Amino acid sequence: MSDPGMRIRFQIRIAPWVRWISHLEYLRMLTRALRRTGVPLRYSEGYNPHLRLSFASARPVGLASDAEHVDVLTKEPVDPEGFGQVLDRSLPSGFSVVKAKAVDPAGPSLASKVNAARYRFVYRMANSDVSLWERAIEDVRGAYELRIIRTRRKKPPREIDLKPHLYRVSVEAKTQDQIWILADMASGSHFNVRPEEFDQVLRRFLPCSLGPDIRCLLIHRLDLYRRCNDLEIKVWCL
Amino acid sequence: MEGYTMSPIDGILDRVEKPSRYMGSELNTYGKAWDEASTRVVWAYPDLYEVGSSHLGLQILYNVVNQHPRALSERVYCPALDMEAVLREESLPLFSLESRRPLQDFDFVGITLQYELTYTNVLNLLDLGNIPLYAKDRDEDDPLVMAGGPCAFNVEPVADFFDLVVLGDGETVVLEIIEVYETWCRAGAPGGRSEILTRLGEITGVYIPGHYVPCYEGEHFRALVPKGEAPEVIHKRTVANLDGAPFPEAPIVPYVEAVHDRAVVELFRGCTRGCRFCMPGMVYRPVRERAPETVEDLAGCILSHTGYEELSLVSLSSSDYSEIEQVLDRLTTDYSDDYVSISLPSLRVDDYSVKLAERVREVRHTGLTLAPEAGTQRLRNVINKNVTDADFQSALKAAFSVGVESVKLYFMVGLPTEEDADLIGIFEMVRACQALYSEHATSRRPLKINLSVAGFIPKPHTPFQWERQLTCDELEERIQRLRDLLPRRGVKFSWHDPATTRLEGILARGDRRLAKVIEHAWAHGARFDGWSEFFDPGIWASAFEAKKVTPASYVRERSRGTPLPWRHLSPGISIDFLWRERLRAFDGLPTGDCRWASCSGCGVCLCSGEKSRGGGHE
Repeated sequence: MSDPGMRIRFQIRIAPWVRWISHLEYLRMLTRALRRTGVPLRYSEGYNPHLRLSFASARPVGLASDAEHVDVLTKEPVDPEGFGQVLDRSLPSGFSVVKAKAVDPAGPSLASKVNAARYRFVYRMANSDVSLWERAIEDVRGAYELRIIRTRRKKPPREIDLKPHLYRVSVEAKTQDQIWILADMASGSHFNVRPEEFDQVLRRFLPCSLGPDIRCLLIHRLDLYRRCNDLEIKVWCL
Repeated sequence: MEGYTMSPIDGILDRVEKPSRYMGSELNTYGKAWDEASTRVVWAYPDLYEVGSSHLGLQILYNVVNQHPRALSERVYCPALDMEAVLREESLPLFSLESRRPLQDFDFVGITLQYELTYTNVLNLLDLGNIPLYAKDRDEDDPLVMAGGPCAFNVEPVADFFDLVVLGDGETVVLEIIEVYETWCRAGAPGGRSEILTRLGEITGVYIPGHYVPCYEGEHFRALVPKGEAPEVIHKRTVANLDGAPFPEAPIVPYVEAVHDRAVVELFRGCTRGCRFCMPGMVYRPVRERAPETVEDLAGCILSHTGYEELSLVSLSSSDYSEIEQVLDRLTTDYSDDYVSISLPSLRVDDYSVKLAERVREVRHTGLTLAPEAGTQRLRNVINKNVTDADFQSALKAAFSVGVESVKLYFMVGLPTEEDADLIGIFEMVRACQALYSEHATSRRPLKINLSVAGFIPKPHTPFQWERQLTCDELEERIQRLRDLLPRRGVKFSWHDPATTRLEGILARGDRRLAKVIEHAWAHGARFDGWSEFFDPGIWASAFEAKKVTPASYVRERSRGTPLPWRHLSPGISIDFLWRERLRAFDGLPTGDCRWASCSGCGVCLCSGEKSRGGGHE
């Protein structure tokens, strides 16, 4: 007998003011929001049944995001768009559904396919000139290598070269007192650049005189995608 | 193009562990307009977010005030040590979770006193919120600081820090307080702070500590003398009918995993089992049950508004609820397809209760938790814990036969009249438990027993309020003795630190001289005294010394005639009943539950003009 259920992929936006929740807290919040929709969803079998959710990536605490992709399995056929609207209404303030779509139930998992992310880094720049930032970005682009020391939980720190894992860096926009830097980098199980590591690298190329000006106010994940031979494949096309 | 707006608070949240504790905007919170509110209340729980957010009482009050057309209420919890350090370093005041305003900006700060060892946290909340610690030092611009909760029944050690204290059920009183406050504000706040306190003091159940002067004789408390019109005795407030009482149908769902991360419906309030050590059992009488239909309606409402995976039916003794079986049956039928599990905390020790728990398959998940409290029938009669060895054994048999392989047992040591035989009794109960397991277990895995021991603390308004509390050395010795008796294998033994127990006992039966001691301890770094990893007995020892207060005088035995610092704070229990119960305790005579046996004459029904509703399964 064929399974009448569906696999729905949806994308959640996490507004800056609720970015302080951890991944585990987000998982619990999402589970309950899904339960409140009343849509019949598939649970795991066994002693402690839980919702069958799969995430494209785990989000670090403090990261605002427009790109939290999740797959969920339903028990019955549902209209994906309607599902997205119902879920959107069920989410607490600060969280919203960007898009929802049915995907091939037999397709690969999100986490196995996503390997790149796009971030926006928001810096305060009360007295600095945008040209200083442009120069720093030039230096990042032109560097032969970008070594950092990665700290790891319960393991010794390790030296890593980020250079091959940074794909694109540019100034995205400038406001009265903020500058936004756009950066694409490796993300996922194969290799993951932590956003704060990029911040660490960029600072090296900014003059020390900027002092307190160079404080990263916020990091915002704008998108997740698959990078394959310099081609960018959207999560929705995976 | 719009930039991102950043508040100073955003700037500090990335420097603390678990920033979501301070984030707010959880599901089902209110965000009422500040400028349109006539009365603004912030509810404070003097412990971490994950502890405080599980507290039902504050959730009830939060909703009651926010459903008022003109009042608003918000929340705050005690910041963890890392957050406190950052706030102090940045000179930022402690702020409410909803509007992120300093506590100082509110009209009322309501602090719940659930546990004596949160008193230094109370001071920390006030200090971080820019509010003077002592009520007498506050001026017209400062909020009115109020207390409630079980410890309000002897609020004396912290009375100087509060402008007003509410005794008993708060859900109706809080609306009366708001009404009096609005009227006073509309009249242009005549007479200032002292006038509003006088007006609030006229509400039944409201105690204004500043209207009383304590006097002492040498080391001992003598009396608390009312000033002017202040009443001699403050009577607690009781919600007579729980079906008409407000209950949060859409409770807040925290992001941080709370200690009780589940939907909660209160089955009944009060307990007349009459355990002689139990303060909630004495001060929250009479028993008031919620009708089964109300329980089921609330359960449905709460589950659909929260999405919780677990529903807990709470009370002081849930298997005593009149229609517990019917309610459980209906709830399990209604929600079995929705992956909702049902839990029943505070079960009695008997096979009936175990079978109830088995009905919701709870025991298989979490193991069995029993609190026989004492190791022999003799001592259980003394404390009126009406559990027999037969009850205990039938509960275990029932559990083991359905596959339970872990048992949690709670006992107290240092109970009045306790002898070595009673400690041996605990050991024998453990052995009996192991023997029953090898006989009845359906599981092949070895039995795990978690034995947890707390030192007995004589609490106010109980028949043991006159008793001596054991010294740390005596307690230590008994715990050690018990430890030596217990088998090493299969039993995990844990106990409360005797120094913590002693401090809790001092604060529980204390008077106003302790305020300076608490302040001194707080000023020297005491925080989260109920958490063993933070408790520092050295700070407290020097605080008692510096303030020349003898701690031993608070844990001594008192005679019938000794003036008690909490005499004026009345839960409606007659002192003659408590004394009679004390005498029966020493005669080893149990007293029945008035729901099934005859009236024990505790006085509460006469006092509140109510009759207990109840029944039970017998």
